[in-house]
Formats: sequence, C-alpha cells, structure tokens
Amino acid sequence: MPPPHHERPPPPRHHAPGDALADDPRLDDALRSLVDDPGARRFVLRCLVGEGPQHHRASNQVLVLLLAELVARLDGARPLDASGPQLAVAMRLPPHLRGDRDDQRYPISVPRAVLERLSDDPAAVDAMARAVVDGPPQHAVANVVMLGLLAQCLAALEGRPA
Amino acid sequence: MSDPSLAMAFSAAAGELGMSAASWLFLRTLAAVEAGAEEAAIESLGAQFPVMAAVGAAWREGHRGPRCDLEGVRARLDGVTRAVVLGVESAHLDALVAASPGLELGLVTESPLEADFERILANFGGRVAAVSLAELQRWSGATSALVTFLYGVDSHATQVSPIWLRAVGDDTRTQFRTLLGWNVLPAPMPVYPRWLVEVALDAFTDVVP
Repeated sequence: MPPPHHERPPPPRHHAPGDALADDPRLDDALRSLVDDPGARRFVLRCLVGEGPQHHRASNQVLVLLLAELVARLDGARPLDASGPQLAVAMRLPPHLRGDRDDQRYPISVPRAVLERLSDDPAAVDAMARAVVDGPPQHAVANVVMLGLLAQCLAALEGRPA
Repeated sequence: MSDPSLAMAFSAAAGELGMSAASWLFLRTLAAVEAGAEEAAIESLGAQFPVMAAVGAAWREGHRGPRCDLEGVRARLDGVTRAVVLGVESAHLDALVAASPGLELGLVTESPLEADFERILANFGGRVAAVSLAELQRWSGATSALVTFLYGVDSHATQVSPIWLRAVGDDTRTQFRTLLGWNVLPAPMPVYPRWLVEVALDAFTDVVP
C-alpha cells in the first residue's frame, strides 16, 4: 500500500532569478536578419539566453543587444551571403548517436569569410573556425550569432552586401 | 475500505493506457454497469492514485472525458518534423497520431509503472517507434521536439512522469527545438502527485494548458 498523501513541497525552479532579462523583445529583432524562421529563431535565442549558466545568458544578451544596436545604426541588417563556405554549429552528441539528418546542428550559419579577414593562412582560419564553434550552445551558438552581427557591421561600413 | 483487486487492475491499466486514460475508462465503465458505482471507485482509488482523485473530481463536476487541446499541440509543433513522447496517455497519443500524418513519432519505453511497450506500440500500426532513454539523442535536431503529459497546471508548476526528468538534462534541452508539455487534467492536483514529479512550468518551451 502506498504511503498516504501529504502536502506538496515548494516547486523547483529551472530558471534563476534575474532571467526576466531574457524576455526582452529586442532579442528577437536582433536575430531576425540572421535566422528567418520564427521557430528556429526562438530555438537559437533559447540557446543564447535561456539555457546554461546565468552569467553566460546575461552576457550573451548584453553583447547581442549592443551588436544589434550597432548593426541598426549602420543600417546593416541584411541576410548574410550563404553562397560560400559557412560556419555552423553541430550539436554535441555522443558519436554513436549522431544521425544522418541535416538538422542535428543549430539553425544558424555565417560566412566563413568573416574569419578570413584575420589571416591569409588557411590553417589559422581553420583553427579559428574550430574554436568559435566549440563548446556548449551558450558559447558556440552565441559566437556564431555575434560573428554574424559583426559581419553585417563590417559589410555596412564597407558599403557591400553582408 | 479499498479493494486491492481494483487497485491492481487500475495500476495495470494505468501502466499501459496512462493514469488519466485509465481513470476515465474505469469511471465510465463502472457508471455504465451500475449508476453510482463510480463513486466508490473515486473514493477507493482516489486515495491511492492522485490522478484518479483529480479525474473523479472532474467527473463529479460533469466532465466525461479528458482535457485534450489537440489543436493547441499541433500549433506548437508547427515546423517540427519529429517528436519523442515521454509518458503514456493513450487517448492523447491516439489523437496526435491520427492528426499528424507527416510527423515522425517516437515513444520512450520507460515507465514508473509496469508496462508492456511492445503491446502499447502495436496499437499505433507502426506509426510510433520505440525509443530507449539511451537512444534519445538520436532523435535530436533543430526540428525535433520532446513532448510529455502534464497532470494539472497552476501558475508556476505542473506534474509530469519522472521519466521526463530522467531524459531532459542540460544537454538534451539544447538538442531539441521544442520542449512541450500537454496538460491532460482539468485542474491541478491538490495532493502530492505520487508516481509523478513536480516541475516548474518554465522548464518547458511550450505548454498546452
């Protein structure tokens, strides 16, 4: 026979106090030019400001919003060039559980060319590319989002497509 | 006085149909056999099975079937190509399978109650695949969802199968686009949800109340 009922304990909390920051609607606007699909954009945003340690979430929010303000002031929000090699973030799955589906990566990518501005050495660019897409999504996806916003800023300053 | 055989029968049904589905089935069946017979079951089983107690309260208010906002679920799964369900509620699973012909569906074959998942899955005619907890991440992806049933929702918390907590950790949370909770009860349970666990609503990306 199971034990008798008793009063419910206080519920656990998944999010830490202070997460109200993440409800800022400007975040969705900030990513609109990088991730077109609203559902995919919501997933990317959750990875940046809804999951992981609170200090990473808050930092991502601050940096993305400031970069988005810079993009807006430069009138630089535009789709990124998807024709060349891209930086994308694969999900960190155990190797034996990786499938052959295209969508076991996060729904955002940016031109690898943004890194090629920093070096002519392909090995150095490879090393940079590996570094920026490494880590849990609050690092890796955030890196790619910020690179996308930086690419838009640079393109706007140079008066060319992003 | 509780009837041990009735409790055993209910536990067996709840394992393979779900706590809510078994509750509604028992109440409808008992009421059909003898008007008022369901009242004794609500008292007897409700003391041991909190979902039966909640369903019994709804029965007394005139409800005759579970809460099932299928359209709400379909709207929240827009853009999702495959979903893994954690927990069993047969009426809701039947409805989801019938309404989502293009959705690849899996069911995690773990339960806090005894359940023959081979028999459960046979009801879906091959539409729902068996998914072990160890293989869950094989279903991950940017268009993938995890779905579980909620047993009552209040302003900040709900109750779910403990399998949800065994499956959804810091890693899987960011490997599935949607973490959907689908409420099956008309009101929160007033007592501690034995066989279920309480989680905060903000653990889900989407809730169908």
